[in-house]
Amino acid sequence: MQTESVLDHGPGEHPDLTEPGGDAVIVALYDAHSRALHRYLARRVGQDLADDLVAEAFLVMWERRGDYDPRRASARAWLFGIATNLARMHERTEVRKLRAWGRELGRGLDVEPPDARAAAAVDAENDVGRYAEALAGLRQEERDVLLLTAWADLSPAEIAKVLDLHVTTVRTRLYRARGRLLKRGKP
Amino acid sequence: MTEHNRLLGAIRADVEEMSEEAFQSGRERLLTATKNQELPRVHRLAERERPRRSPLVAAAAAAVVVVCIGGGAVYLNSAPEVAVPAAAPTYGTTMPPEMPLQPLNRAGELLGKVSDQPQLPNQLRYVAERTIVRESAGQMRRETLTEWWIPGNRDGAWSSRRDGGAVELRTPSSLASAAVVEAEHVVAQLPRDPRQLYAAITARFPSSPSANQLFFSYAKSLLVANKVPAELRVPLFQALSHVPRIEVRNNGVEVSLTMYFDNDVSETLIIGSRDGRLLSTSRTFWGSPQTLTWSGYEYGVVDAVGERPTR
Repeated sequence: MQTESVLDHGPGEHPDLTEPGGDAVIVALYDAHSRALHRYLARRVGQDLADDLVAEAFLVMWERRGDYDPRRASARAWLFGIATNLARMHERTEVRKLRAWGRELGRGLDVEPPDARAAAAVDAENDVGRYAEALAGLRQEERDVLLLTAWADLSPAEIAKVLDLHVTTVRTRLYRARGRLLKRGKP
Repeated sequence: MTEHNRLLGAIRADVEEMSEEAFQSGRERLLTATKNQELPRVHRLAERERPRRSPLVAAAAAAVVVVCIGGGAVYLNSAPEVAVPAAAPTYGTTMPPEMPLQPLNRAGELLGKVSDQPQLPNQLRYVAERTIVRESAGQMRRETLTEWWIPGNRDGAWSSRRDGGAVELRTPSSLASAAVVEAEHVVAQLPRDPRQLYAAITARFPSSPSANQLFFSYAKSLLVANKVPAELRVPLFQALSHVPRIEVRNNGVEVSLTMYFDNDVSETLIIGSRDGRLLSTSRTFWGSPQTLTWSGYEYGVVDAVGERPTR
């Protein structure tokens, strides 16, 4: 029985959601991936929006289950692709948050660090702050592939499939995004 | 590359974990969706930062004002979670001229019990409408109370009073709060059979790419401005159940019907499931500043113009 299989062994990486028992499978996927997805989204658009977008991503996944081809991508990758599309609607929020966070970190201390170790920690924070601001300055499509790689652990091939891009395009965007970040994120 | 990964990994790495409440809420929504097998829906939040609406739909939506009573809380969060795949948002759609066999939403099923308070021939139906407009930041707030006294013979003179002023004879259209306000003789002639009513309404905008939205606005006008009686609300709700892209939610006491007009504008009707009476409406502009126009309704039967029902 499908439900027992899901409960016993998890939803699997490439489930067929259109089969009988697909409802149990997607709930199992929710149990397995919602928290990781929430973390990815919260880092991008903030905690409150992430609450809604996680639920939304799974609803979209369920409603579009007929479009999912398990041979093309894992359910997890597809889910993160859907969530990335949803988060794209909140680009302004994402950029605003990244800039604010970057400024906060990059502001440094008002007093001189007491020792070399503290000074190094402050420098490290400044570096991350600058990087966050540089990340906010990337084009949306570059930021998407970069963060799907770095924060969602998707491979370029997986990203290409779930965002319906050629893998060469994904690699090009990644290359450019890293280059810009390293250039803009320097002190 | 290592330095790049370290820096990128450190950005906002300290976000809080998903709360148990959010986890359970999302799970519950998913379970509901898998059980109901309803039409696609996408959350309203996904629509907030998209481009502006089309002029056609904007004209229809902008003409709609909301009305209400009760002075209760403004339902900023009452707009239900909504429809349309995120990658390709479409809101307006054409409608077939004849009502399809299969309903597209549960409006007709959920609003099966429709009634009005009994009214003697010499009594008047009392409807109070309170409208509140506010921005999300709370800088602006307008409130209007309009009371109506409607005779048993709906063709007779209607009376109204706004914000406690003088009672005046008015037709519904003189305080129009809807896109289209029908004359009473037109309302009287609307079919009471749902199929015929559906056909009559869709015939007003044949082949329109926004037919579903125009249908929704027209139905809202009948409820808000014409305050149509139970005998017309029954077929109206059944016809609405065949209108594409209406989001229907039911909490056991109230049924909400929501239509998204574009990226920035949604409207919701809240209807009591006990008697099918319109309880409130809301129109939300999701742009900046976010604006909510909320209206609530209160009903009664009184013996004279100017009287309010005793509670």
